Amino acid sequence: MRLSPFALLLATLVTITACGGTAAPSGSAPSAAASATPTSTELKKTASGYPARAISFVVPYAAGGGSDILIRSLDKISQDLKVFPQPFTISNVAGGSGFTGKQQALSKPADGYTLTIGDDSSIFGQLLGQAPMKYTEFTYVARLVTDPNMVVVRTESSLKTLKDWLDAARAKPKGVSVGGTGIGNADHVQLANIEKQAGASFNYVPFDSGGQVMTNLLGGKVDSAMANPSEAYEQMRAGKVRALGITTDKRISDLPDVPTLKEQGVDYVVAQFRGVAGPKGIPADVVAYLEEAFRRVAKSETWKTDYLAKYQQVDGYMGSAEFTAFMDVFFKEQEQAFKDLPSLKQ
Amino acid sequence: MAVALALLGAFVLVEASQLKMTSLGGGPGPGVFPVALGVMLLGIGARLAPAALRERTEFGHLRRVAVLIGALAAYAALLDRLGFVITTSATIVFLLVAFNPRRRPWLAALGLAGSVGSYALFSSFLKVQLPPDPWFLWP
Amino acid sequence: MDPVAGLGLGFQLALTPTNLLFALVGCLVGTAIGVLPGIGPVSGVAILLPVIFASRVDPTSGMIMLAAVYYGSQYGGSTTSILINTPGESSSVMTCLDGYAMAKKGRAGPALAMAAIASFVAGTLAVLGLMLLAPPLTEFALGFGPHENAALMVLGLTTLTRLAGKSVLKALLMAAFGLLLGTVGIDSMSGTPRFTFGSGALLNGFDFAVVAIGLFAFAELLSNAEESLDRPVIRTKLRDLWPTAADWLAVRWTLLRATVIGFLIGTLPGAGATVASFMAYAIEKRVSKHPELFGTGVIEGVAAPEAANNSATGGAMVPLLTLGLPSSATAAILLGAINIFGYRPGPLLAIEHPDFFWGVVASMYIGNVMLLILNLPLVGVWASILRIPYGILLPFIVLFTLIGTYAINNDIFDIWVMVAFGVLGWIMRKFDYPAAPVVLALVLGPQLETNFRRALTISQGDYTSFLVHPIAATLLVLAVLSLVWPILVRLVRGRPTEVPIAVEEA
Repeated sequence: MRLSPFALLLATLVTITACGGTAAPSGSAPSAAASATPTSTELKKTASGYPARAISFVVPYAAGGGSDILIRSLDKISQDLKVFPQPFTISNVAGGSGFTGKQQALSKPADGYTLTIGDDSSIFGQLLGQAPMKYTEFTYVARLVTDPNMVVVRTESSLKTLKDWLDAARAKPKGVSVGGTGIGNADHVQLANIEKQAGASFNYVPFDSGGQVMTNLLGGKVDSAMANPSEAYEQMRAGKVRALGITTDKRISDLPDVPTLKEQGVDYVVAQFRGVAGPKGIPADVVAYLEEAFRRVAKSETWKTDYLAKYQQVDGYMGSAEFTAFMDVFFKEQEQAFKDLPSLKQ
Repeated sequence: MAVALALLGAFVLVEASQLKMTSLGGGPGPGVFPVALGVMLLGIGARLAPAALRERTEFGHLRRVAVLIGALAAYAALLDRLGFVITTSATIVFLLVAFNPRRRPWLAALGLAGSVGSYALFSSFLKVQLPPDPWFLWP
Repeated sequence: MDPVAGLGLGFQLALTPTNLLFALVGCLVGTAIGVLPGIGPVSGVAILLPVIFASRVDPTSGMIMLAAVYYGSQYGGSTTSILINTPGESSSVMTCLDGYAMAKKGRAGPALAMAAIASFVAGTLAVLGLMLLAPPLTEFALGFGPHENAALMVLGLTTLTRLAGKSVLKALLMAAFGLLLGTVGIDSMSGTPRFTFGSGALLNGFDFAVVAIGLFAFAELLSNAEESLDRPVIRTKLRDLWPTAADWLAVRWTLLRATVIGFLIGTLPGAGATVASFMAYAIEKRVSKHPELFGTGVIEGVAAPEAANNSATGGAMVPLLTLGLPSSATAAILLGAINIFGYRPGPLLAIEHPDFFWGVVASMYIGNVMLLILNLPLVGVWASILRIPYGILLPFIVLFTLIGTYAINNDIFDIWVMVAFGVLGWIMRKFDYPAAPVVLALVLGPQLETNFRRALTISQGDYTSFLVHPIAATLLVLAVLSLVWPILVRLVRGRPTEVPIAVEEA
């Protein structure tokens, strides 16, 4: 073992230089953005002095995914707005459909220094028996964004409108295939609800990821697909796919030409959502601090331009009390859906 | 070996019989693949079984094998309670001392340094997730 | 902007002194993390991506560092394959077979050097292929839906049974066992838990890397512990660190063939690099004048999988370039990185931001070159690790194995799984059962099953739909042929076929 310590030392030295080397560009980056900051008074610390140190954020999904981008954007813009004294310490603990990371966050003290993602997968996971915890084991701090779904087809498809799509499925039950991200996932439940509303029956084909759904749609392996605006936007811009309808209440500003399901006679409004949660029992004053900090971010102009518009997300801010109540309602709705909708029973 | 896998195949067939064979879409359900594999394991295992029963092998220092397996089992059992630094150093030092008759103090020191050093390198510098240290020995 | 001009621009952006420094640092850090067993390029980049992002570098430098980390950890993975018989990820399983055998014969140096050189050659050709062939290959890639993928996996598995070990039946049995391991956990098509026996830890199934560390690395440790510990791994002197003239002569066509296979298969969605690595190995074995020596430490057995898995990385850039869609785990990570750096991946990315896109391609290439420059001088250092007496080396391999196993999922349960598979692997060696089919089938099995069932969902249970899809039908016919061909040959030649399958394939 004469060589290994040497190798370790070498690598250690290099890592130190790496940190030194990367520090230089970081100094110049935030200054430009900071000048655009509105006149925000600094947030007052709580009586107990929170936040005294960096908040560690456990992102339970891989770096570069939707939740990861959300938290990294949140971190960046909170720094610009100076709502936290220090940047977050973000760690990506992916795997186990997000429950590994959530479980890790729950094992930490409920002091507001460990936060994670609060999303609908906690609820679907519990209903499907895949989650090691209940959705009620979290403190819900703030909901930040909603992510609606769209029905998309290839540009050259003969299905021109939502009506065409529904008629085709009514004429031949299971004759129209719809790609989605998996049994029991939000898009599957949504499709089942659309089927019930419209009296049609589709052939749902589960894939492993949104990217795979899009590949198979482009390759003509499925007739249509369910996709988030963020997944389909670039393909739509390139003229490769068309959206027949979106599950929002009103048309969204990024895609003004996409009609809602509601205006086409399918009265169904739903969206996936993402927000911030922590272990159960975070003190009320700490929650209030976080809530106010995230509200400022969510209402800022930079959030709209640098995050929402860039990644086709829809603002869905809710404070802690509202978010908690919303989770309960959402859970009951989905629980009922799993009981009622025959195509969800496998 | 072949016999064990044939038995595994039979077991899989029994277990898989509880899974659905069809899905709502008309395609095969979650049970089809396991059943096919159970049949394969049972079939090939049985085909190889007569030869397998005649197979003999030789064993060397079984005691050392047992020591190594035992050390790692103890490691897995204690890791959660004692934290990474203590458990790992103890295991590595133990193995170094157990497997080398000479220069034991020197090797023990090397093992300790190696364990602590790799924790420093991988956990602190490269941000690899390692078990936390409950004793706060590590900053 | 056409690809040639784009790439020129990309190189201009990438080849600044600062960016080269980033590449160097990334390569070193990648190598350091890649030597952990089980941490290959995909998990290596996944671990370091947040670190790179947290350092707030500009996008081009960030992508260059990322690419360098990628190649660094891939090479780190090949290093562990060759030195301690542990694949960093599924695409370097095949490198273990001949790489480790070469190391035991005292030829670790040439094996390590060849791994770096093959990866460099394949990387260079793949960039060329990407520039010239991306549009037609996109059509080829989109043609692969669930039917075609399922058929490709079947062909992959039948190929697999002929790769390792002496007995085809034993390999087949091991492949079935690996496929079975792949079914453990939540069934992705229906959400039903299978073979979890009520245990939450089994819900996510067996991780490839954990099983591979057990079956390869830990089983090797147990076998060695059982034998003598006093001697170093290499008893003979390290003869030479460089591939000999004969080595070069042996691999000249291997590199080219493996690169082409890797590139084509890499463009397809799914386990591109893995399938590519053993298809390339299988083809080398088939065309070789001495197929019986494969697995005993021939240089082609290292060059083929290493070239193929590297050019598959280039091939995976094709759908990323033309559609903005990932076709492999690697491409998905790149896609995530592109997202983090604030660009939107899509068909228009390469058109609207050619500087960034081709900067990424250029940086992948620079990462590859940096790896060669950095690691060739280190070959001697790595190789001489094997001269350490095994009694001292073993505990340190255990140390790295434990860190690697834990780091994969941050789960202590994985250490138990690793130890259990180590014991199993040790017993398998005693009775001559090959380990490679188990881990490769574990990787391919879920892909085969989901694609198979997805295909039948699309065709609503119509099994004949496989025959209507021409590509799928062709692949299936090839798969059947590859299984029965040796038997047919034997029948035609009229040789006695006492145990036709079991004794076939020397």
